Amino acid sequence: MRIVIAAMVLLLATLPAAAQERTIDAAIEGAIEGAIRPGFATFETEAQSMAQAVSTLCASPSDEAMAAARDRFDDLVDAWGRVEFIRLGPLSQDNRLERILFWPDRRGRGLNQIQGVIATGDETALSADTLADKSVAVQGLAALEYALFGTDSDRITAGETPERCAYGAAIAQNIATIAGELNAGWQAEDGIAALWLNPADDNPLFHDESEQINGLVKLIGDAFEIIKVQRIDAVLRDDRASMRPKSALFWRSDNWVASLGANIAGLQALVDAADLEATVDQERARFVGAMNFELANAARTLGQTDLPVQAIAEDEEAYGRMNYVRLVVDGLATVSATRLKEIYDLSSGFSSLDGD
Amino acid sequence: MQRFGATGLIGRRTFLRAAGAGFAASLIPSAAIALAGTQAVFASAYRDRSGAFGVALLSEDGAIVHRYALPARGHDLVRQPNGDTLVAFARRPGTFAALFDLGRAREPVTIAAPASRHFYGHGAFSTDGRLLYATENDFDAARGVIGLYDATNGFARIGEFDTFGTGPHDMAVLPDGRTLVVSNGGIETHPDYPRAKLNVPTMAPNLAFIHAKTGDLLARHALPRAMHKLSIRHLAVDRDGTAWFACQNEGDIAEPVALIGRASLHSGAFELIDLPETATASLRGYVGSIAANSLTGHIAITSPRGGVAFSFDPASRAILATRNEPDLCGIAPSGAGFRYSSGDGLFGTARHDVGFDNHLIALPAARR
Repeated sequence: MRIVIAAMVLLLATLPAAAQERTIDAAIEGAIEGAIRPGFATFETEAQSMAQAVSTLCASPSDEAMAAARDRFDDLVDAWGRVEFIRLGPLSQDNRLERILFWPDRRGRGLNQIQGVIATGDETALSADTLADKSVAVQGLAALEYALFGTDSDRITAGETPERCAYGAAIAQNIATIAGELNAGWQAEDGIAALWLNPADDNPLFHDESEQINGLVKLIGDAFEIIKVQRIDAVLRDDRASMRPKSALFWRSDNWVASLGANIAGLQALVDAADLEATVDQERARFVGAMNFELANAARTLGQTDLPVQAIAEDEEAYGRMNYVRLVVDGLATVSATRLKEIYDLSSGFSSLDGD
Repeated sequence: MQRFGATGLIGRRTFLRAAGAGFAASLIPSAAIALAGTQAVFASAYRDRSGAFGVALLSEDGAIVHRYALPARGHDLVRQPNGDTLVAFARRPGTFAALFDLGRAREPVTIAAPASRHFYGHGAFSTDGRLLYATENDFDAARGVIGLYDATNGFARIGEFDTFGTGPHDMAVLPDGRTLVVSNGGIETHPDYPRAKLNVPTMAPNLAFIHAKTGDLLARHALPRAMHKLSIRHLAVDRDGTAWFACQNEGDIAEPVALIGRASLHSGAFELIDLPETATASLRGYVGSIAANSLTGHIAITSPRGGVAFSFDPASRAILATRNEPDLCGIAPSGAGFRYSSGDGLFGTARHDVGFDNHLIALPAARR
């Protein structure tokens, strides 16, 4: 981490400067219009494609239909990874976050429930309407991944497990419904976007400009922290020998690295759309530029390591690359929680963390 | 905007008795000067600019009169009745508690949570000072426990009680000395995924009254099902033995709901307390600390996310004073008012080059 921070500091002297020309309002509007709204619109589109693909698979099971459904799952994971850290507004309401992704599932309770549904053919899990009232653990992407990629999933292709396919279709339709709610929530003129863009004394989330920008900075900082601690540390651990590939999100579909890549791409899109560099003076803009540089480093390294997590566990060089990504994300998490807050003259939030 | 009062809490003579004569004698000159004007002392965990952690002892006039080093970030502190020990608990999911001798007769020591347990950052002494209680996480079972540590025998862990819930956070001993009150926040966590909330959709917080000697459950209160995402976290016991509790909202904070309430073992009452709507909204779904003033009966709460503190009269529920400062969280009774601290280094009206942790305590005089 020190290396990364040092690299960021060095970059301060070399990156081009920018003038302070953009208001906080414009930055937030840019983030909403340029990244958040398009991101959730894409997620809804991909979720609908996913639902259609599983429906087709169930109607006419075949290798081709299964491959198409699995491809759509990859696309859905990508679209989700780009917006999953916008945990403000619609995603923080009605358990939507956990209904789409119940994870980490440390004690395997979710997996047990999913396997139970598949083993028993639980009828209440076979339609999206009734599935939506069941445990969040059996509703979302982790459940859909198990249905399409887990043990015995190939029997769907042979038409041997129609209930499992119907369960997959119900999950996909449920995700599409939630994705529609998320998209509608962000597109609404009087919803979260209006709250974020109109700070006021009686606004329950944003009192002033400082809280507006803090909302964005917090999203970004929390995202890096979660990616590092929950998504990477828990898998890579101390060394390759102690690595836990099955603790990786989406390991069954070989989407661990891809989902991390989507996370970084989504955060890069958010920073770009907000154009944070233009909201601060030249000296501070260089720091934001350094952040972009490190995001690009992480994205490039993930792109060079597009392997199943089990293969990474057997490849020292690949493990080293992922360790480098961890280092970069750790540095980004630290500087987001400290320097980025200083840039906007925000409180350190030392006492503001959940649960303390 | 009114400021909280900052009147004296205990006299200098009482302070010296509380802190020990050796303590005063060993202070460096500048600190001794600060101490000379001391009318009361407070303590808080902190992080300094270099990233080092510690515990600060603060004087009435706002000076830091002594610092103890901590191996990692501390959270709440408790002072031993009838003794000189100050305990600093590691912030969750930490596994140490640091013991400082305010009489400075002994070197600081740390005790560790047992394997498969971590501390939650809070605890309490029995009224006779012989037993230290600590809220802990039996994380593989997702079960809250109260660790029991024998202060008369090197703080050896001699047992544990169930908290009758998941994710306990703060706890206190009622004035009767026979009853513990624990806020089971309801949030499951595990050190494999530090600070990740593993069960928000199904979380079930409660407030439990527990027999201090037997560990038996005396009463347990839960919020209505529709409010199950209000994690009950912090406690303050008033002069009548009523337990005031403060919550953080894991649900949609765009729709503000009451975040504080009170419970009485004696009457069986358990209720959320509504403050004026604008005040509730300004808390941003999170109350970081709550304190009761035994002189006035007034209650005060802070929200570091809202950067605000209120004190109010529990009878009329009228807000008596409001303070706005970034990252305001620590609060402790002080005379007829309250003293506050912040993550930005504020302590009352003084500012220090440290970030104070969430909790500030007034150091009561030891009874000897």
